[in-house]
Amino acid sequence: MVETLLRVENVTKRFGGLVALDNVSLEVLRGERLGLIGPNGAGKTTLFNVISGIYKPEKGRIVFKDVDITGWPPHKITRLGIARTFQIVRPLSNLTVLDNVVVGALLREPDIGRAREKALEVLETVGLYEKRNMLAKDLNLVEKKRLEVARALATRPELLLLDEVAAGLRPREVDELVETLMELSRKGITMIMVEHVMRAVMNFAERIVVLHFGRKIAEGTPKEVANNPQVIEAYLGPQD
Amino acid sequence: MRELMRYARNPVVVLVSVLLLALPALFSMTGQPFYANMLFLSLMYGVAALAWNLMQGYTGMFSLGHAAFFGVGAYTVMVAMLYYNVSPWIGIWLAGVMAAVVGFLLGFPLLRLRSHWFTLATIAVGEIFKLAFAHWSYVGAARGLQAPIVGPSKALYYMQFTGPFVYVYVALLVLLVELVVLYRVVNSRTGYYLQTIREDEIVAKTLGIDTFRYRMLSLVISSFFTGLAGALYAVRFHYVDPFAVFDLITISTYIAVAGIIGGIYSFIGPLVGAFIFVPAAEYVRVKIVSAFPRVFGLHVVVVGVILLLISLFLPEGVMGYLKRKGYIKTG
Repeated sequence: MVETLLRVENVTKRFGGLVALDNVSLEVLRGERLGLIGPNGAGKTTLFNVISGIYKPEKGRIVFKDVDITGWPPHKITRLGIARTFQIVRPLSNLTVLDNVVVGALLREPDIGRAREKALEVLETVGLYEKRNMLAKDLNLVEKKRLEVARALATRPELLLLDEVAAGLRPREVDELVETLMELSRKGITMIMVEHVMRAVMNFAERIVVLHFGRKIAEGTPKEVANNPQVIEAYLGPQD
Repeated sequence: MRELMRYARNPVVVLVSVLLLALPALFSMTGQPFYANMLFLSLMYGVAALAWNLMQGYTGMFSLGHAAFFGVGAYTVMVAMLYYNVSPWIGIWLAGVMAAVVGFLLGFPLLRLRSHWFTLATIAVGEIFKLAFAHWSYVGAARGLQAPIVGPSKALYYMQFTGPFVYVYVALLVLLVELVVLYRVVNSRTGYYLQTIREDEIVAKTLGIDTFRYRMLSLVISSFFTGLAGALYAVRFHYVDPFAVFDLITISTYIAVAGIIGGIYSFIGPLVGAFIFVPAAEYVRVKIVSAFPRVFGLHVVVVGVILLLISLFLPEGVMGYLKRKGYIKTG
């Protein structure tokens, strides 16, 4: 019996007159790798912001580990086991790469020394160990994306929300990143990947949910989704 | 604590400490109370600037209202002494507690604000405290509170000594306590969390940090030590009045300027800044302003010029500059 880790139930989020999320529901099983795709403005990042507590939904519920976390402040949600990365990277610019990750590790390990050890391990995993003493602002974009993942991982999440971590990467780098994420998945971390880079999401996800104008329009294996006429229409416009 | 010991082995730190300990005695022997007083004021502002910088440099909260905590601290010593016969030796620490309580209560409205709105609100708070105390008869309203002159048998209890020298050592004691506490705070999980909030509050939240709580903690610790600085003022001058201890320029702004000159991204920077700025300001006040008695507000002009020069040539402060040039590694 596989446990449902996260349930998004009928979530609606509006910004003024714009409906960013329109009655969206989805479930994520423990250990699953879920892809979340859709054209620009489909509501993918908004959904992440709702799950991680940055936005409160007007309607619907978010249930994580059978706890209703709707409307919880972000820090409590993180403590319960959800971590996220940011699509537009947000490094702690004037701290070193190591200290960026130490801050994440301190959540579960209040001792600085042990948090540092833990952070170094995580930096090794994402391939930033050599850069650990640089200031975060001096990293290039690819490295900053990796730092986002490292910092989130250091909080030891059960559910990791990845917001376009493959954007701007070269194909080889995309494959490396997917490999790293697969390894984390094998360690038991559940992941939702928001992604435009199809090479990443198609190789990574076991199941894909497609959003379009704030609505869920399709759901299935990568192959099913790629052949779904509604999805093709959403991305390419009406086909004859 | 081990880190602190390593700090204590740093020859520069040891040298500065020894000099600080010896200087008042030296001045006392050579009959230079002006310089001993300068030293006292530098230490007093240094205590306040270090406290201010826990908010500015570590947490990213720019306050121009620290006079509120400074003044509350100064008044607490006087009220405790005059109305409850509490020795200033104890009153100093009560002053810290009282300022911290005020900081805590002010935190609820203030911490809703960020960046320049926060700064504007702190200015308002400082001014409100000045006006409130100037109209509050319990604390002497606009006249303020004056300690009575006591005989030699009670001088120790009421902390009344001739000249500035003993007060320099009292200030050194307070500074030492502050340095130990702040050093431990900034090198703990709290220190990491405050800096995370400074860099990006949203990220801080998503890393599990209760940002309201930690910003409040920063404010409370900062107001505690600023209250101690105000207490030093009260014990040194035996007299407090609202227009002196709640002043926007010579308290709130001087504290901030000392911190900025020294370098806000440095632990010890604000203290260094106080030792550069306060003697300069004192020198100007006593030697230059008194030579031009009809030029009103000249000291403010001088402060402005010093700030202008710093922002042009040392925008990261003295300690930031020394670090960038590689003259020092930490601090």
